[in-house]
This record gives sequence, C-alpha cells and structure tokens, in this order.
Amino acid sequence: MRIQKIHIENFGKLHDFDMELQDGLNTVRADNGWGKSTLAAFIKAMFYGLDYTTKRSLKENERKRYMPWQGGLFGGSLEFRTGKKAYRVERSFGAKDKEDTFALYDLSTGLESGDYPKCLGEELFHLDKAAFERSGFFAQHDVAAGINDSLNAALTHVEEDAADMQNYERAAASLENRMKYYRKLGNRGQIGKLEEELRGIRETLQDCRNQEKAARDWKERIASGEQKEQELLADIRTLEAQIKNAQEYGEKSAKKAQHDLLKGQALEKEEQLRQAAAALGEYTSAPAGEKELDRCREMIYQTDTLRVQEEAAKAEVRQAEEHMKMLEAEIEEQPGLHMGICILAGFLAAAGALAVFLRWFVPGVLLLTAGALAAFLEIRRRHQVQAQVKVLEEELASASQELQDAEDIYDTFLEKRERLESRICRFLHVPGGTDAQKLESCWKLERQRSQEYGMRKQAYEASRREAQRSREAWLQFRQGFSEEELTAFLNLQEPEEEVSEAQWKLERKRKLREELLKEQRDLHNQMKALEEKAEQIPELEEEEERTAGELEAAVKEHGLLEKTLKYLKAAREQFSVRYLKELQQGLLYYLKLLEPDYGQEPSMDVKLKLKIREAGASRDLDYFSAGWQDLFQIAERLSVVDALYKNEQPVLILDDPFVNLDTAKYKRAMELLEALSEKRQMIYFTCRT
Amino acid sequence: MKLIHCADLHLDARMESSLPREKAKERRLEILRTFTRMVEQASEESVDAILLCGDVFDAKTISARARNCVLDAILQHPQITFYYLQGNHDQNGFLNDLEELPENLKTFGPGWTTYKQGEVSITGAELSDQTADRILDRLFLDISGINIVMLHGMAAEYGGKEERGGFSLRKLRNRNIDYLALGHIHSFRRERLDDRGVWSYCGCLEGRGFDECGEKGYVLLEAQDGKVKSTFVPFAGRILHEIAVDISGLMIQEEIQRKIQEAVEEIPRKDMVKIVLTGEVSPEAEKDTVWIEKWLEDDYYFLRVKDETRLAVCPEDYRYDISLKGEFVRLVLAARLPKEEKEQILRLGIRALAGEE
Repeated sequence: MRIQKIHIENFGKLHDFDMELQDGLNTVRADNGWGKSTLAAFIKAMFYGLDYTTKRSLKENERKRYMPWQGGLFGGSLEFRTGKKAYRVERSFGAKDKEDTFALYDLSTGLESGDYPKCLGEELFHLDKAAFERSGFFAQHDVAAGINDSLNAALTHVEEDAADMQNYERAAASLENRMKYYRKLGNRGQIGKLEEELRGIRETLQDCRNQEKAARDWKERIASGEQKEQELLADIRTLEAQIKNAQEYGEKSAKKAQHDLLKGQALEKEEQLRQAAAALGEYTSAPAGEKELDRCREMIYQTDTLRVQEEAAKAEVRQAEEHMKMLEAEIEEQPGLHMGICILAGFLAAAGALAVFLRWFVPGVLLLTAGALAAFLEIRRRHQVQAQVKVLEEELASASQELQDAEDIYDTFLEKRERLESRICRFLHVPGGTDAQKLESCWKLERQRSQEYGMRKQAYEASRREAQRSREAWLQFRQGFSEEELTAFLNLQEPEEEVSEAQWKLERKRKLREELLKEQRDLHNQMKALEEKAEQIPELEEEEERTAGELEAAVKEHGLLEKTLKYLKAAREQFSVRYLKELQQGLLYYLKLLEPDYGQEPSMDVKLKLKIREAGASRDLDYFSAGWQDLFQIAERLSVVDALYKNEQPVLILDDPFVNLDTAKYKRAMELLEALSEKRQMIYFTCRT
Repeated sequence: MKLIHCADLHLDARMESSLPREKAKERRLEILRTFTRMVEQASEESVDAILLCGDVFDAKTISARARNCVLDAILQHPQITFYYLQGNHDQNGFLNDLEELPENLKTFGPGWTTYKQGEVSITGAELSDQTADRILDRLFLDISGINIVMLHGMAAEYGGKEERGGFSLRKLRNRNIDYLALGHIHSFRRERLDDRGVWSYCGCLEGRGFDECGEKGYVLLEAQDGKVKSTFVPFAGRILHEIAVDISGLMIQEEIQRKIQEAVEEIPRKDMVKIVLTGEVSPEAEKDTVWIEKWLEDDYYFLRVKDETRLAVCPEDYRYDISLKGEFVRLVLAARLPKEEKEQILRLGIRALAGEE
C-alpha cells in the first residue's frame, strides 16, 4: 500500500496544505510547531475518522484538538493505492461525528467506490484504530506495542474466524459483567442478595415453626386453664351458696323447724295410723256386729226349743216303733204250714198213687183219701191263720204310717236344728257339730272379739282422721313455698364456717378466676397471633424453595460463568502463543539491528508486554531509561508490523519516535528505516537535522 | 342415591410449581374455592353424601379461612352427609377443635366404622402402620345391599409395607365390596377389584405442581338397584400441562418459538404450562428460555420453560479449527468435567464469543 497525495483543507493549524509522497522513506523534517504530529494525525484521521468524545482534554479529544484554528472546512483528502487500485478518500468533520462526511472515489473511474463501505482503516489494515495506533502508527512519545482483540486477530491471521478473537474482550467483559451481576465485592450482587433473602426467610420460617410448636403448647395450656377456671367457678358457686345459706340460715331454719315439726307430726300420726291399721289387720275377718250376734243368739235359743221338740218327736217315734215291733211279733207268732201234716198228706198221696199204680186200688184210694183229708184240714187251718195275719198286717201298716209321720216330724226338727246350728257354727267360725254349750261359749267369745274389734276400728278411724289432718297441715305448709325455696331450706345446712371467712375465700377465688380469665384471654390472643404466624409456613416454605432454587441456579450460573471465563482465557492465551514465537524472533532481530552489542534477550508475553532480564531479575520497561524503552518498543513494533503484514505492506507513519535515542542509536535507527523503506512506504516526521 | 368420592384436597398446602408468591397465594384460595364449588354443585344435583377420603388439609396448622370454609360448607348443606376419613396429612386437629360435630359430619377411627344411608352402607377405617394389614382381616360386610368402603393409603397388590398406611388389595377381594373409595394418589385411577366391585382413586381436585398434570376432579357415584355406577367428573379450575418440545436442529429463536407455539396452541389460557425443551441443539443456536417465558407469560396463568436440550457438539468438528473458539472447545472438551457442565460452559463461551449479552 502506498499514500500518493495529501490535501488538507483545514486540520489543526494546517490550512490548504498539499503534499505528494514517494515510495520508500518520506522524511518530513521541520521545526517544532510546524505541524508534523498534526499531519500524522490527519493521515490517521483520513483512514479511521475522528472519534467523538465529550472529554475536555485535548490529548484525549482529537476532534477538539485538531479543530481548524482559522475555521473553514474541517478535513481534506488523501489519495492512496492498494493492490492494483487507487482511491481518494475525502472526509470532513463537524463538531459531532454525525456531522462528519466521508467519500471514497475510485481514481481510475472517478466514481465513488463502495469497496470499503464500513470503516476504511479497519477494512484496509484489518485492524481497528487502537490496533493501528499500536502497530503501523508510531506516535511521538508512545511507541509501545500493545495487544487488543483486533491486533490479536490480525496477528493470528485467521481472517475467516477473526471475529471470535476480536470479540474475546467483549465476551470476557460480558462474562465478567454477568458474574458481577451474581457476585460483587463485599458479598454484594444477586448471590449475596439471595443468600441474605434466604437467610431471612429461613429465620422467619424457623420462627414460624417455633411459633407453631408454641401454639400447640399454648393450646394445651389453654385447655388446662379452662379446666382450672371451671374448678374455680365451681368453688365460687359453692362459696356463694355457703354465704347465702349462712345469711338466710335464721329465717330458713325457723321454716325448716316448722316444716320438720309438721312433718314429724304427720309422720307420727301416720305411724299411729299404721299401728292402728296393723292392729285392725290382726283380724283376718271382721267380727260380726251386735245385730248379727243377737240373731245368732236367737238362733241358739231356737235350737234349744227345736232340741226339746226333737226329743218329743223322738219319743213318739220310739213308741211307734215299739208298737210296730209288737205287731210284727204277733204276726210272726201266727203258725205257718204244718210240715208233718203236709208230709203225711204227701206220703199218703204218694202211697195211694203207688198203690193205684200197683193196682191196689182200695188201699190206694184209701191212702189217697186219707192224704186228701189231711191236706184239706191243713188248708182250712191255713186260711184261718192267714185272715188273722191280714188283720195284724193292716194294724202294722197303720203303725208304720204313724212311725213314718213321727220320724218325719223328728227329721223336720232335726234338720231345722242342724241348719240353724250350721249357720251358727259358720257365724261363729267353729266346726259343724259343735255342741250347744260350746256354741254358747263361742258366741260369748265372738261377742267379746266383736267388741274389741269395734274399739280398734274406732281407734283406727280416729288415727286415720288424725293422720290425714296432720298430713294436710304439712302439705299445706309445703304448698306455701316453691320447690326451690323448699329445697333451699330443707337442705339447709349449718354454716361450716363464718360468713366473713367464706367471703374472704370467695373474694380470693374470684380474684384468682379473674386473673386466670385474663391470662386465658392473653393466651388466646397470643395463640391467635402464633397461629397466624404458623399459617405463613406454607407460603414461607414456597418462598424458601423458590429462593433456594434461585440461589442454587445463581451459584451454578456464576460457577459456570467463572469456568467459562477461565477456559476462554486459557484458550486465548494458548491461541496467542501461536504468534508469540514469531514476534519474539522479530523483536530480537530488530533489537540486534538497533543495538548490536546488547547481550540480553527481552521476553514478550501474549499481551505484548516486554520484560528484560537485567541484574538477575526480569524487569519491566519502566526500570529503563526513556531511550532504552523506546529502543525496545520500536524493535517490538517493527516485529509486530512484520507479523501483521505478510503480503502487502502498509504505510508506516512515524511521528518522531526516535526523539529519545542517543546519537548512535538514532543513527542505527535511521539506517534501519532506510533498510525497511525498501519494502514499504514510510512517512517519517522529525525535527532532527 | 348419589354420592361424591373426593380426596387429597391438601387445603393450605404449599404449591410445588415454583409459582410467584402472589399466584401461589391465589392458587391456595382457588383450591379452597374448588372445594366449595364442588359442594355447591353437589347440592344443585341433589347429591346425598360426599365421601372425603383423606388429606382434606395439609399443614399441621390450618388457616382460619380453610377451617371456616370447610365447616361452613358442611353446615350450610345439612341435606348432604359428609363422611370424613382422615389421611396421613390430616394432623391438624380440625375435628378435635370442633366443640360439637355437625350432625351431617360422620367420622371414622382406627377400627372399622359403618354408617347406613338408604340402601348404602359406608364403611371406613383410618389406617396406620400397625393396623394396616390386620384390620383388613376384620372387615365383614353384608352380602346384601350396597357396600362402599373408604380407605386412605397406598394400595399395593401384596402388603404395601413400603409406605405408611399401605394396604393389600388382595385382602379386600371377595369381601362384598361394591366400590372401594380410596385417597392418597393424586391421579384418577379405577380398576376391577373382584367380580363384584371396583377400586378407585379419585385423585386430587386441583393440581398443585407439574408432577400433578392433567385432568383432576372427583368421582360421582350413583347407587341404584343394588349397583354402583361411577363416573369421573373433571372439576379443576386450572389444569397443569407439561409439554415436551423437541427443538433439535433449530438455530434461531423464531423457529424455536414457532415450534413451541404449535405445541401449546390447544392449551386454554387459564391453564398452567411447563414447556420442556428437548433434543440436540447447536451451541450457536439462538435459544433464550428467559425470553420464551417472557414472550408467553401473558398467554397463560403461569408458564415455565425448562431447558433439557443436549448440546450438539462434535469434537471432530473442532480438531483442526484454528480459532479462539476452536481452542476453547478443545480445551473444554478435554477438561475433567461432567458432561452436562461441559455443555453449559461450551454454550456460554460460544454464545459470549458470538456477542450474546
């Protein structure tokens, strides 16, 4: 690449300035204040533009620093050749970057070119502005090489994947930022916040769980308190009753006494009645009354009469019987058939029959006649006897009738008497057949019993009336009071203790109960509060789980970010080592050219930081003089440029970088420039002659 | 006769779905409301009984709101008999704190308790470690009539000793059960018990976390002519969905979003969604889960994105890559780190180099 022409409209103190440049080394030698650095800055601005910043420092604010002194259009143009094409870049700058203009013309066609549309410098050199300032642009007093993603990417020559190397810093910053979100110094950040939150939640949760447990204890305490309160209430009721009882004792005891008296009387009369009833009850049957006894007595008399009549009738019967016996004897005495005659008659008849049979007719007839005669005589006698018997039998029949009549009369009397006696026996409750004398004594006994019974009955009736009267009096007394009143004075007990003593006890119990009730109310309120707390447990558990989950995720994410950053850094360093060797060689090469007698070998890290072993230790450049520092850095810069550009060489712009070199070193530096300018265009600004 | 079988309300329980504080609070109220809504519906449909098969509450301390709500629901519907069998989470003293049990609230103990309502006999026992298996041997039910048995615990074919309150279904076979109403498992499940009956978990009323996705509700039982007909009724106010979206090979955020959009477009806006990104994704792929959450957060009641993608990194691709990225990938791949961590570091590093903030 080569810059051909520069035209400055206005840029810092330079105004309407033109310059043509040759291949190889172009030296701009001018005094201090001519505008060498301005020109160098202009060339850089043509490729990279001017940053817009609000910084006031002119060193940091190039736009402000190079604002035209005399006014007019701020900017200019620059013609350059790269590859086979030539271009002209025209830029103008405003107070802000939005006002800037940019145009690129293809010098062969004269038309505007779209070859480098985004950022000319970056597209041309594959370096961002910062990387360009650290490589091909050697600023005055600042020749140190430095690494950034752009330079790193360019150094690794991985054009197609340059993006990831270029993005390393952004990626690392992004990871670090994300890590910072999770964890900052002093345990701040999301993790700290979540830890704090979780601690708080767990404390609250534990508190709630304790309160839940306490609420259960409280419940038991309340239950036992309720039982105590009930016991106290029962004691109070008893004491109140005792006091009331004592106060009403006099009045009630009089009533009780009267009641007890009436009751005693009623009970006594009842007892008497019971005894009278028992005495009466001794009689299994009620004895007969006077009338019945008189009638009985009359019946006894009647039996006596009947007995006399009965005896008379009995005599009559005996007489009739004797008469009959006499007649019967008389009839009995009448002769019957004379057996001898009958036998004789029979014999004669039989002998006559036998004689006839034997044909002894005469004897036979005689015998038969004698027999018939004998029989006739006997029959005639028999007829006479029978007539006598008949008369006697008629008499006997008459006598029998008389006997029958007498017996009937006797039986009538007997039956009457027996019936009467039977009635009397039944009446007197004695077995039948009891003799009259005994009946008489029985009657007397019965009469005596009847009289006693009458007296007992009278006594019983009197008792009954008395008992009823007493009972009525008692009940009437009771009716004068309600059941409660009755119960109150009937159960009246003599006060166990003095009223004042009981009252003192009552007051004490009441006070205890009030205190207990207050305590119970407090416990209730506290338990309610505890339960309200305990109700938060599910919510807090959810919160704990959620926060613990978030914390775990945050810690995990932070760990992952940390590891990712660690591996990314390691990858970058490992990757950077690939070009470090080449840079190291270039450094030594140029250092040898600039200072052939220098025996040490500076080392370079992946950040292009130099360390030089001197006096037994690796030392930073700061330990060296400005001249030596510049020397090392120029060697490093040139090494970087070599490493960066393998093919087309860029223009090197050197804004008096050797200002600190001593004459010998300066000479060797200039010789080196001469040598290097054979390969590339160089613009060297210096005030040295 | 109509009955409702429900369980595992876990009122006042914490939400397991990483909901923000306010929404978790709102969800707790919604679950309570779903319970009262169910009771109101039961009343409108002339349901005679509600079987609460355990874990009505969750925490040791229940809020006054939850306690009053449940109590009011019971008191306001005297025509419905509530059978409340306590589960392993019901250790809050809800029943003990009641001065007097409402007439329409029936409870159970560690032994078998039977209530007769119409032609239905409802029997239940609260199981514990010691009694779980022995108590089953002591279950005797009348062969005639309809027998419903309530239990809370893990049903296992044999023993079920691993878990507290586990019980063996084998021991409940051929015991004249028509319907075995169970609680403890949070998803609906119904299987045949024996020739006569079925066993069923009704599941919870509302899902509380993404491990309780899908339809939730109760089981409606219709007992008639000696038979029980059971129907699952979806009743949850919101359904939780877990949707896996394979984004293998997708490189830009728009493509990923389009694919997610296709996967979730059928889901109602009121529901809660967890999107799980799966597949193998290039480290250079633009994939921003935070942005996806932000992009969809207004479309659903709650949405969460979980990235379970694997990084499609082939070490061979980077063996000869002369670049910082190549160097980085080689370094990380060679490091002694868990695979998942390597993938995350690679993704972070490559995305950072690509200029992602």
